Amino acid sequence: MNDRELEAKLQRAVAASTPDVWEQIRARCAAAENKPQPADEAGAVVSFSAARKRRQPWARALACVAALVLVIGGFGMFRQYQAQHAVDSVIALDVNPSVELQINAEERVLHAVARNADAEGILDGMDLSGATLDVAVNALIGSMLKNGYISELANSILVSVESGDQARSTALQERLAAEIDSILQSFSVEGAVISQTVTSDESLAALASENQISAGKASLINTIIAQNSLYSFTELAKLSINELTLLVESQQETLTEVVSTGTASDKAYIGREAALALALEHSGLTEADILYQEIEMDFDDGQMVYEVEFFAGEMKYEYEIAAGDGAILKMDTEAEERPIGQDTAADGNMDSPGSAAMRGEYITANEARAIALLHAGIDEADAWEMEVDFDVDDGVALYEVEWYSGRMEYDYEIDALNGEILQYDAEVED
Amino acid sequence: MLTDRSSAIVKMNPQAPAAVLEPLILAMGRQDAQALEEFYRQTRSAVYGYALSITANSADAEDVLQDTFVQAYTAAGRYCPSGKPMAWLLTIARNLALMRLRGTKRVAPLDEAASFAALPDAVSGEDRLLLAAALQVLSDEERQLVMMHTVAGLKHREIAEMQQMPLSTVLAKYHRALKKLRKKLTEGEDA
Repeated sequence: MNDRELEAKLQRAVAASTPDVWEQIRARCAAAENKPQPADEAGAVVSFSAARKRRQPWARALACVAALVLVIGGFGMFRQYQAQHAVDSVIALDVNPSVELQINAEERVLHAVARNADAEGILDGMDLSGATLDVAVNALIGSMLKNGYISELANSILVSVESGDQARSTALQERLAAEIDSILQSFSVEGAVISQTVTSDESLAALASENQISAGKASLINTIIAQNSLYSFTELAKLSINELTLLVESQQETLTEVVSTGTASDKAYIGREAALALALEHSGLTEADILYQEIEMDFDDGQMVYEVEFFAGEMKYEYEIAAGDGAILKMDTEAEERPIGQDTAADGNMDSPGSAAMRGEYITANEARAIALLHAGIDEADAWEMEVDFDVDDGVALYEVEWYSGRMEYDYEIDALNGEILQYDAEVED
Repeated sequence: MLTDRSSAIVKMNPQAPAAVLEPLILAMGRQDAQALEEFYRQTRSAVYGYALSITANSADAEDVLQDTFVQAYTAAGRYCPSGKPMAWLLTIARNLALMRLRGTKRVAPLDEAASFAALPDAVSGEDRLLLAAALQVLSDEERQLVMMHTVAGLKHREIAEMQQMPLSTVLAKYHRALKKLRKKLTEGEDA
C-alpha cells in the first residue's frame, strides 16, 4: 500500500465515520435567533429567517476594503485624517493586569482599555488619551511596580503589538522591550520582557474576552497549547505572564514568534536544586547514585510544580513537587530500560558507578548516531527528525537510528556492543 | 441515515475548493440557512477528522463538530475573503477542540479502540481499524498533520503556516506519520 492509497483510505474512513449532526446544528442556530440581541462585538444575532438582515452586503465589503487600505498605509488625502483618528497599532501589556493601548500613526494614545479587573485598578485615575506611547508605557509600568504586580518575585511582562505593517510592528516591539527594560532597571528590578506580534481574528478575540485576558495573552497561550495539547486554555489563562514564561522556558519550547529578553523570575518558588534535593532525600539516594536527571517546571492541578526525573540502577524515579512549598505531590517508580537516547553530561563523562558499568557494556546513543551518519556520508546539520532508539531484538542489543535528509529517509541498526552496522536502508520519500 | 449518505459522501470531492466555499460563507453571513447546510455538507468530514485528531476520542469530536458550525455561522458575518476558507474553519474547530481538552487527561489508547465500536454498523470494520490505529500509533501532532492534509485537503504549505512550523518539518513529520500508520496496518495483516 503506497502513500496515495493510504491517504485515500484514511479520507474515506473519516468521511464514512463522520456523524451527521445537521439537525442539532440547525436547532441551535434557530434557538439563538430567539435570544435578545446582544451588544455589538460579543456576537452576531443568528437569523434563520431570510428576511432579517443586520448588515448590508456592501457594508461588509466596504469594511474589508477599509481594512486593506489601513494595512497598506492609507492613500493621499485620507492620510491626514487617519493619522489623527484612526487606530494605527494596538499595543497590549500583560503582567497580571492586561492593558491595551490603541495608538494612532503619530504614536499618541487614542484609547487605553482595561482587559481585566486588575487593569481597571491600574488605569483608575489615569487619563492617557493623547499621551505619547512612551509616556503612557512609563506610567503603566510605574503603576504596576508600585502596586506590586511587577516585583522581584514576578518580573515578566508580555508586550504584544498588532500593527498592519510588519516592519513597524517589529520596530515597536524592540523599542518598547528596551524601554521597559530600562524602566525596570531604574527601579532595580531585573525584568523579563517577552514581545510578540499578534494578528487578531474573531476566534482569538472571542476566546480572549471570554477569559478576560488580552488578545496578546490569548495568542501566547495558543502558541503554548499548540506545542502541548494537554493544557487547557482556561487553566493557562489564569496564570500570570511570569508563570507562563517559566513554563515555556522550562520545557524548552522554542516559540519563534516570540522574542524574550531577561529571565522569568522563579524566586517565588523553591528552585530546581531544592526540588531535586527533596526528591533525592525522599528516595534515599544521593546525587552520586543517580544516572540522569531532568527537572522541569509544569502546571498541574492548579499549581506550579517541579517534575523531577532520574534513573538509578534499573529504576526510574519520577517526582512531582509543589513549587511553592516543596510538598511532594506525586511519586512513581518503575523498572526501566537504560535511558538510552538521553544525553547525560555534555562530554558524556559521568563518574557514578551505575553509568560506568553501563558504559563498559554498550556504546552510547551519540556514538551510534555518529557511526550511522558517517557511513551514510551525511553531515549532522543536514539531517532532520533524527531519532535514536534502543532495542533488544532476538537477544541482540542494538540502536535504531533514523533520519531524513534531502528527499531521502535513512534507517540504520547498530550493534550496541561493538558499534557494528547490522542493517541499513535509504529510500526516497515522496 | 448514515447509510443513505455514505455513497454520496464517497462520490463528493472532500476537498472542496475555496471558490465553492467562500461564497457559501458570505451567504452564511447574510443568515442564509441553506448556505450553512451546504457548507456543512461540504466540510463536515474535514472538521470531524481534524477535531478527532486533537480530542482523540469520537464523542468529543462529535461535540466539536457541532460547535464549530454553530460558531462559524455566527462568525461568518465578519469573514473577509482571503482564499483560505478551510484554514478559517479549522481554526475555529481547533480552538473549540482545545477548550474541550480542559482538565481531561488523555484516555488510554485501549479505550479509543472501544470508543469506535459505538459507530453505526454501516462503518466497515476496516475503516474502524484504520481510525483506531491512527489514534493509537500517532502522536498528537502527527495525527493533526495527517488529518489536515488527507481529509481537509490543506496543502503542506498551508499547514506549515497554520501550525507555525517550517515546511520541511511538516513534510518530514507527515511522511513519518504515514510510515508509522502503514506499519501498524500491515502488522495487523500478518498477525
